[in-house]
Amino acid sequence: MISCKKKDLYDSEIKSEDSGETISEEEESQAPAELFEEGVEHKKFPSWAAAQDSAPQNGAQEIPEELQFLAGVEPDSITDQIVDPFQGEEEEFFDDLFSEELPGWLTTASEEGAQIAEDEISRGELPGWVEAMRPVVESSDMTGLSEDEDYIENYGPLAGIPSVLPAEAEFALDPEQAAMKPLDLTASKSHQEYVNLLKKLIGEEKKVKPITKVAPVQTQRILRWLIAIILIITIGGTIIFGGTIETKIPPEDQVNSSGYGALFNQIDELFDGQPVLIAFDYQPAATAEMHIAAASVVDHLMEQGTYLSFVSTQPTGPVLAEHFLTSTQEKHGYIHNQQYINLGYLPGESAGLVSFVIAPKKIIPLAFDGSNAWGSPPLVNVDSISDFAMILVITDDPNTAKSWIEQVGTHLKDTPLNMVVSAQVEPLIQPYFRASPQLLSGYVAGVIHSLNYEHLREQPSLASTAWLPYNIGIIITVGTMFIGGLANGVLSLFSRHRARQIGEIK
Amino acid sequence: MNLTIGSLLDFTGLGLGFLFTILIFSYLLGDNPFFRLAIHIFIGVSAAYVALVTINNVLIPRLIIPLINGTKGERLLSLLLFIPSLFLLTKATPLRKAGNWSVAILVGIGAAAAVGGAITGTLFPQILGTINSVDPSAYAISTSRWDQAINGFIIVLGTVTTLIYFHFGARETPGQSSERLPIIENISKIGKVFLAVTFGALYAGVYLSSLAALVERLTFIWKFLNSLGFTLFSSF
Repeated sequence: MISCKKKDLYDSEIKSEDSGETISEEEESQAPAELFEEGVEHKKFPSWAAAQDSAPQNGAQEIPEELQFLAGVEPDSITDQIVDPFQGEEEEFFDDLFSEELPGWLTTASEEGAQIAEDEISRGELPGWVEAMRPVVESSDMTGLSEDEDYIENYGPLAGIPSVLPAEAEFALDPEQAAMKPLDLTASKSHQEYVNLLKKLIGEEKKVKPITKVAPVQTQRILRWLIAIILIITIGGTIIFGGTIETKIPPEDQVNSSGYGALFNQIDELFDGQPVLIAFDYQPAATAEMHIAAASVVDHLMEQGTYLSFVSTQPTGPVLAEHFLTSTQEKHGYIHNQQYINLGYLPGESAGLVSFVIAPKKIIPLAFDGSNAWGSPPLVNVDSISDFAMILVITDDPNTAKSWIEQVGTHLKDTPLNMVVSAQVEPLIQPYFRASPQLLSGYVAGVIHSLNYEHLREQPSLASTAWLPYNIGIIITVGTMFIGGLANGVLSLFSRHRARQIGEIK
Repeated sequence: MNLTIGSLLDFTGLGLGFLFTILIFSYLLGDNPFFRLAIHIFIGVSAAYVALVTINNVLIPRLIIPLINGTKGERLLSLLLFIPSLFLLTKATPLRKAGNWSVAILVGIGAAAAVGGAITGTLFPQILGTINSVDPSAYAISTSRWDQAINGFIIVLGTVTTLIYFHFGARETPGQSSERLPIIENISKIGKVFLAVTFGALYAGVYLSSLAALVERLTFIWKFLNSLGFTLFSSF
């Protein structure tokens, strides 16, 4: 028996595949002559049906009962013949139509008419646009629709029926054979490029890229060491061997238009016992510069006998305030709760400042050491921030400076807001001092302003001590930048010249 | 040698300061374990100190004490503030979403204060200052007429050209890349010069601050070595 695979096969394929049990022409010729009428094409059946063809003597017993109706076999009267199920009905129809009961003229006329019709009717010519609409099947590899005439359903309830549209053509393909068949994809060049790009991307993701450690440029390291050594030796030498540098008092016009001049004049007008609020809002890393910048200003305030209140919007501020007093203003011997009060840390940044402006006593009820913050006589009458005689903010951060100006400066009435800032903050706060209306009444920025402030007071302090090494450091820096720029320019000229020479040689 | 506890503590403090200064300076040789050790200690000490200050200076006097010893109104207010604080603590637990509303209130209030202050304290005054810069009678600082004229011109020019530099609008032309108008492009180049000068000034300020720190640290090292008896150069 021919083995049937679970797929649809064509008759020719069946024959070629099952060479061992191929049905020979002799066997076919042994089939009853009634089955092969002249002009009737040999019907193609499934393998089991073809085998039945070749061995009719075995009868229809081997045909499954549920498929016998497909083969034209009456279940009740099993005969040796296999009849085309459509053939009998067609013959009966024509027999009825052209029976002897028809009149003779009609029979003759129909025969003559048929002959004339065959002669006269020729193939009509379709218009071009209709021809263009005719479906054209370019590829039949995938579906096999163009070969459906040779196709015989070989599986399922329709097994044995020819010219059946394959319901599961694509699914029933043998994967091995399908893989061998080329796919006629109409991919353009750009599509192919995209595919290649995608393949490349996916492929690169799988690759493990070794991280190459970039070796530091030796010249940069050497230059860094060289600059550091030069700075340390020159500045250190100045500190060790000492010496002074004579500086001149700035001209009066310059003092009057400067921030330190304005601050000096305001502090000079304060008198004994007036409350002054000082905000220590700098980081510990900026202590060096801020001590130099603020020492003379706070010294001036203490000389005037003002009552100082310290506050900070940073947790490290209260301790830095105490450190500032002990390291720079020890000579005044200010005592806590008598000449100054450390109000401590004010949390909340901008929101905290706003609340402090409105109700300072409620926001900070206790001092940093836990004592009553507002019990001292100078602070008894302080109900809002405007009741202070002056506000001085010491900061190294431009954002903190802006917060004080924006949140506090706009709420002040007659109380001046002043600042001691780092040199890096000066460009950002100067517009508040220069603008009209003026939100910043005065300021000292960095070592240079502090030195000028000391000149105004005629009392040298930390800025005067630090000025010489600081000045030497600036000179060395400017010199290094100049020499570096010059060397860079010369080197680039050489490289251009060399590149030009190479270009000419080529 | 008469050593007291105070002087011993002072000396220990100076010694630690000297040691950490040297450890930080070791970064000149590149990133190394000594530098990292110093940085880690600074971070740890700072974090611990901030925690202590927050507890002693904020939580106890402003939340716990009013809750225990305060008046009825103070207790109620403290309780009202204590509840959102507890919800904030859930941020460190799997129930972190429960603290979202507390964070929302904090961020909302902070942003409102910052934006309100920026508008009334910076935006309007700066606009007014720019307008007044061309009006010498409105100057806050009395300067000469030439100074006023030059200042006013520079302020207006700098403000306008810098603002134009940040104007990125361009007319759309079909089939061509959108580009700014040539006049805008040229004016923005002047704005770029003003920006470069500003950044240069800021960088110079940062460098001057660092230089001040270097001078102070070298002075400290010299003083410490002197206190140890290195009086080799002190006779100079």
